[in-house]
Amino acid sequence: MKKKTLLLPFILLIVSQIYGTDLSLHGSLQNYIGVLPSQEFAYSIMQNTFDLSIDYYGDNSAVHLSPSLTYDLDTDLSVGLTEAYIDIYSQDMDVRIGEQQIIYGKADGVFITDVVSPKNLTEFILPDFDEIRLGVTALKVDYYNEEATYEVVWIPLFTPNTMPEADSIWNVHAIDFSDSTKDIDTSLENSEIFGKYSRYSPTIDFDIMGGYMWDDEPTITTDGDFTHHRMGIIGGSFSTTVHNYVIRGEGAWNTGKYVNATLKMDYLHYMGGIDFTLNEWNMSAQFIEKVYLNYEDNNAVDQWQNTITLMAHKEFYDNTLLFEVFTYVEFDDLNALIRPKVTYSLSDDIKVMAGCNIFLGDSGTFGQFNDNSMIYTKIKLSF
Amino acid sequence: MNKHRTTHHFMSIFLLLGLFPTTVFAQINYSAEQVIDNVYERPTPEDQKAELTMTLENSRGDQRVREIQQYIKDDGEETKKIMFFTAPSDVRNTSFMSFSNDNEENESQWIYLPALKKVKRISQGNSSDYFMGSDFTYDDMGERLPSEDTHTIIGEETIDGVHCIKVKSIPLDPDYMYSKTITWVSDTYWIGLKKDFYDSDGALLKTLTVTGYENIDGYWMITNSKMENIQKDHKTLMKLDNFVLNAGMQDSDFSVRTMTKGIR
Repeated sequence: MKKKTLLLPFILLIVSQIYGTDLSLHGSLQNYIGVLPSQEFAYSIMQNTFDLSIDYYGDNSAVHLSPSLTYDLDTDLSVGLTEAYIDIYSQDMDVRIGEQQIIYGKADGVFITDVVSPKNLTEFILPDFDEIRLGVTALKVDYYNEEATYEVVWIPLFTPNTMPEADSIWNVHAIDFSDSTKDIDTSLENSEIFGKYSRYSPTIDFDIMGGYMWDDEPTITTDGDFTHHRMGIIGGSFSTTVHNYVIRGEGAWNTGKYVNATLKMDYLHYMGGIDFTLNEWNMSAQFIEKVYLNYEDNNAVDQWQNTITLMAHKEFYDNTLLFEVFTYVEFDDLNALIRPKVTYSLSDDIKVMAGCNIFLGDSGTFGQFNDNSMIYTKIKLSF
Repeated sequence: MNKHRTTHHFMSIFLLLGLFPTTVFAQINYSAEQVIDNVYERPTPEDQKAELTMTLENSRGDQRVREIQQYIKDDGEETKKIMFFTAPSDVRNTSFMSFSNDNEENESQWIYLPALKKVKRISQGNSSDYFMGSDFTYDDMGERLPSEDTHTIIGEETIDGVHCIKVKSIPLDPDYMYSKTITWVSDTYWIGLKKDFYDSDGALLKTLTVTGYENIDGYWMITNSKMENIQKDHKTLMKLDNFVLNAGMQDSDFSVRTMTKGIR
């Protein structure tokens, strides 16, 4: 929170210097209630969130702030700043400085090359895809040359995944991760750097990326504490259209992953996917595989991990009712997460949502939470 | 011209013999294909910017409004379009980009979802989907190639004092979302002033009516139109204003960079 407090005045100072700005103010108010049928419908979440998006547009610059106010049944009132950055534009180059979410890759709901922004895992992977990523304090430079973009991201301040509290239903082993970053000071040598070359064209979109980073996921040490290790990544993704199908792929080679206190391995992580329309249903399917290359027997991970995801959505009643379902199925220790959701637009600005998260299986990524299957409602007012 | 005289001569003989299956319209000097080609080839600016407002109205009279800024560049071979959604609030800053040419196989479409911070390539199979809850499908919003249908002149009528040729068009693709369309084409402005769309069962589904058009900088531009879904009793009013034509837009304005930050 300290870094954000320091950043805000700096941004406001710059704002005051921008000549001829144009202010835009928008946001949303959301109520989110979830109950656990397996635990006599006890509340798993009761949360009210107020999100604001403030934008100033100048001729060759822009400033964006997105503060939020959250009142949660467990943590009471908290103030956050999802993003706070300055954009500076020139003919062939854009520069973005500040707290920002950076998204890579073509996969949906799976993080392969999408490793720049850490994740908010306090509620496992259940937050919407647009809510799960955290901002990082970074300098991002994009240089454009016709259809190609060259991007460099420098992150001087490490931000890890936000892990669930020890008493959370999403923390099966009741682990306290809170001190995992205590040994990572803010210094040049502790910074992270990423590079990406991307190209969008009528025939194919693709990108190639690489990075030297911290593992956003904490790992146990021999002392029983938790810490983060350095990792490297090289990867890429593509999407193209074949007749009425969009074919997508993404893959990465990751080095230096600690799966326990002493065992370090490299792994390949890749995905193939297809998007299509069937009887006015928009459908998507992905196959994801993760394989450890220099595998040694251990209790933490299997050498091969296979997952498929299936997505379908369709709008009804003049597009006022949206039904969607997103499903993960993991094949090792067969387990799954099924997430159907219905969204009804009471008006353009008021939406009511109802859905459930169904965890199936006894173990594995999803099966371990089989007591946490949940029914929820959301009401969202946008302005 | 000689070719037309010869055609009319043979038509008269067929009529006398009672063998010609359809009515002949002596005042019409165009074939159905020429009428549709003339609409398709009507001079348009090389690039244009306009503000589009769509008002959706259901059977109870409830209205919802969508606002879009659209930019189009057409160099004669390829049409590039980019749309920025400005209202309602939950779709603000979403943008849609398409590149298309005479070969529909080469159409490419992308959507930028600001909440996901991602530009996604989307499938052309969505062309029969309704655009933002309106009564226009994505396909209705674009230009349909004349060669995708067979055309027949079926009559002539006057709409608001403007003489129109009625053309029936039947798609070559039997799986196309419409079984046929009937268009009332002004042979003065080469604008389709009215169009009926029939569903796969042959029943009237929708009627498009052009309610406003203006000559702007020498080009006939449609400014107001209404699409009425007869079966659902739902309609969409479309208004285009603040046109800026031939502003010298560059190909680089139609890019992923522009989708994510807007045209500046």
